[in-house]
Amino acid sequence: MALVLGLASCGGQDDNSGESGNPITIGVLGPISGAFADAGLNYRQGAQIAADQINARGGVLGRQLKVEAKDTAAGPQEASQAVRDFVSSGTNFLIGELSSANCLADAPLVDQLDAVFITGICSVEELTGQAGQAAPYSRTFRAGATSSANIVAMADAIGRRFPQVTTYDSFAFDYVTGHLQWDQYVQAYADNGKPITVGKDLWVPMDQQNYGSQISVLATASTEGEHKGLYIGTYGAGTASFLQQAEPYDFLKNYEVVVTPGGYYPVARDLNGSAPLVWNGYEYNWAAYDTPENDAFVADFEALAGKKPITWSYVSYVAVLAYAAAIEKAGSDSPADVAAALAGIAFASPQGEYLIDAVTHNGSANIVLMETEGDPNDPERVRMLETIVIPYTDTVTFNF
Amino acid sequence: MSDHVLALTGVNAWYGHAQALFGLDLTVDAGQIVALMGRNGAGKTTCLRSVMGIEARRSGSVQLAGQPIEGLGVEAIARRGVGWVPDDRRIFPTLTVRENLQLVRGIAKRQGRQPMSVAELVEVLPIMERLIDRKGHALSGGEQQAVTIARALVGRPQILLLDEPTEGLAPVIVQGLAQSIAALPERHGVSILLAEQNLSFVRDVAERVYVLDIGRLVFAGDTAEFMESPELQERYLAVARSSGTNHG
Amino acid sequence: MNQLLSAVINGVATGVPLFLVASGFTLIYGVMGVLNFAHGAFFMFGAYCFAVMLAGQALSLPLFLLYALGAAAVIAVLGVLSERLVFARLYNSGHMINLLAAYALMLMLIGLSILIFGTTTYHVPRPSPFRGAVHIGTVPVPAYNLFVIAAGLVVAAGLWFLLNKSGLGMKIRAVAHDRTTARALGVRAPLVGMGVFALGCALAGLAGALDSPMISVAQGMDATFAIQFFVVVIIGGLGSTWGALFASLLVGLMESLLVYYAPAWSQYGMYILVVFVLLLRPQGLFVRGPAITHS
Repeated sequence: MALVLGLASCGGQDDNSGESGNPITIGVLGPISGAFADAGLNYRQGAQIAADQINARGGVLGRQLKVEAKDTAAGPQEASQAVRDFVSSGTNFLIGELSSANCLADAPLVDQLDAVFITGICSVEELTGQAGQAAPYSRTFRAGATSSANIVAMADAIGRRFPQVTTYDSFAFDYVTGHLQWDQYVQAYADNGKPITVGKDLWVPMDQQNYGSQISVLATASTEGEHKGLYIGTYGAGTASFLQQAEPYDFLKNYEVVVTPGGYYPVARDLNGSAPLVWNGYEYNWAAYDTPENDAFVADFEALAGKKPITWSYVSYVAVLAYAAAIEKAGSDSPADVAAALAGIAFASPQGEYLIDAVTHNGSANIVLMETEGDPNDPERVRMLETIVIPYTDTVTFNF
Repeated sequence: MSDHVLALTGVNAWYGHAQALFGLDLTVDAGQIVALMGRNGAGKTTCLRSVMGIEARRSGSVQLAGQPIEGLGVEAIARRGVGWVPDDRRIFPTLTVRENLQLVRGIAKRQGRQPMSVAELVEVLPIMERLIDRKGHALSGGEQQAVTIARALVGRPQILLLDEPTEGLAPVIVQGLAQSIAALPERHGVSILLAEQNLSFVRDVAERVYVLDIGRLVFAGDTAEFMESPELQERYLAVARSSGTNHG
Repeated sequence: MNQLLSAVINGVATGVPLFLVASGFTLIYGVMGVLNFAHGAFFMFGAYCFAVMLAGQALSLPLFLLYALGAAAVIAVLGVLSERLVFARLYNSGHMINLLAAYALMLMLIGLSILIFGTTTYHVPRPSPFRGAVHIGTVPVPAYNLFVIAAGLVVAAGLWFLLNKSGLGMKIRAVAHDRTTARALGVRAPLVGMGVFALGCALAGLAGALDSPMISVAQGMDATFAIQFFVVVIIGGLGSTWGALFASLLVGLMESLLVYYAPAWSQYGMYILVVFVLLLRPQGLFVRGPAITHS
């Protein structure tokens, strides 16, 4: 195995090991095609902003940073191949992925191939250490929130804001994470001593977007004034389809609160001003932080992409900042040294000081709770009514 | 002499790498009925398909009324006035007989030829009268044969290519067909190249006979001459003794 | 009873765009012998073109229809280009080569769509008369769904008329049955083929435009229908337009009814239908005898 690796790294073009002067490449894994292509695009753009800013300040160890991306939309097999292709061409610092299935395929492979991987969006708990336990993968780090941290923070905040809502209907993607998150949401209320009852729970397959039948069921299941909540466990194009198909029935007004874990801002933006009022919890929105680092990030991102950054852009940005800090701290670009430096690193970020725990490999991701609705008069067609930042230190105290 | 409706000169044809015709020379004069005879697999159908442009690889010259057609596509050749009646009939099953005819009528009109009316067709093939509104899949073998001929005739082609029209037909129907076919050149000005194995049918309708044997022309002459030589008939038409029926 | 009515209408409304896509696909196969794997991509392109043309505005009905037909026309042109550049050279190369070529075309079209339209989701508003729901008794039914059903019936009727009552339809049927004989009668089969390809793709594009207010117009849209319209042509029979209509409605209804009465089975209903059809009548419900032969 070592012989093969040795031969592979000898053949590489962008060889990360060796003379200074050569750029250091960050490999972005994520969907470039398919229904979540927007995620891959935002990952690349977020990473690019970080690289540009760092390069403008002289780079890392005097070397420029380069960003390259590979498409992993097709699933874990394509993801594994992308990891191998990156490593064999000398790119050992990887970030990204959207699907937890991909992350679970990448993590052991990254350990095997002497590379490093930082994920922001994969929310499955098993990628990093939980409840203080050691990280299961020596080379995988998380610069984002776990699923349970996100859900529990949301449940707590929404529960306090809407104490009368004790029944929920749910409409969610029928897959492992979808079920897991819904269960966590319900459990969180029970753990807080305010259990909720489940009204209708509807599950839809991830790869099709025709929800007419399910929506008819929901539309007739609720009436105004019942103090009900709606949990939308879809995301991206799925949520957009749901809202589009729900529009003629006009039944969202029957719910006192509509919540969705994960991103809502890009969906609202695409709905061109007609997005309904929804609460969501995710790692970032552009108005969450009033810091010079955030202002610079938002301005640079808007200049590159023509729109405001979203969580997908932010976590990639943070991941590249993490690598830059770790490489500087290690004083070397050998993956083993960088991984050792990442454990326990602290660096400046738009949310303030960002930490990666030395034992668990978890990042100090805040949860940002947002109340958002469409606004035809806004340049991005979205108005953010309220933003609540739940600091990482508060999320850590919840039971997992 | 130069009044050939159809002239093949040095025509070779291949199926893949197997050569099926070797340097074939053949002519049909205006108003003639010419028969092409030979065993199964001798190359009769290949010859007709080569004229029609259906076979992929061929060389040599094919001229229709003095104009070369060997480089043209199938539909172009058909539009110039070549009517093809294949040996497996090939009726369009879900089209009615009327629609089968209508298909060709429209095309003929656009080529400036006045198509034959149903009445004229019935005159040639009386059986057509009661078939006109039937769907293709509801016809018997003999009826399909009549329709296929009618369909090739309706556009008033210069020449009709008939491939084994009597195959599988009852003798009394064959008789009627011979009468209809024989009258065609005189009544409607159409010449005919007829591939056939039925000796008496050929004797009743054709003026000249070409005989093919394994892709080569082995006899060209008047029908009478061929009919009076049992030895020629035996040599080129009879079943090979040793190995049973020849199929090719 | 209320739920049943709602389910039926939803099912039929789902089936109509499926029918439009499947009918184009089955027409192309029936006449050209080409399994146009890229058909879902034409559907997606139609939706994208339509979304870009509308630029987020809610239009009046006549304008909406005009733009939808415009999008269909653009896709027809795209179809003709694909036919000329890709399939025209491969007609005699057998099914496998054609399938690979269609797959390659699909990948190219997807890549092209990312280049042209980007990765964001486009929002297409319903036309202004059809934004809300009508009530049939106490059952709310989106008005736009009823419009789509009506549009689908009009297209089905038009298609039937074209294929069975027009001169062009006769030529199309002749070429579908027996290309060589049709050519030997003077029918310009290559032109007919091009026309059929254009029509088939136009139908897919129209389906994309009509469906766009109901689903997200974004990457991955082509995959939405991919499995479903293949299932439809298996059930209805390759080459049969009636089969496509019947099977589309059947698939739409089945899924819709299962969601109401047996949600756990809703994703599998389609495949159960396929199993039954393949066991009992493998050529499809509307195709007579063995599969169509081409020569």
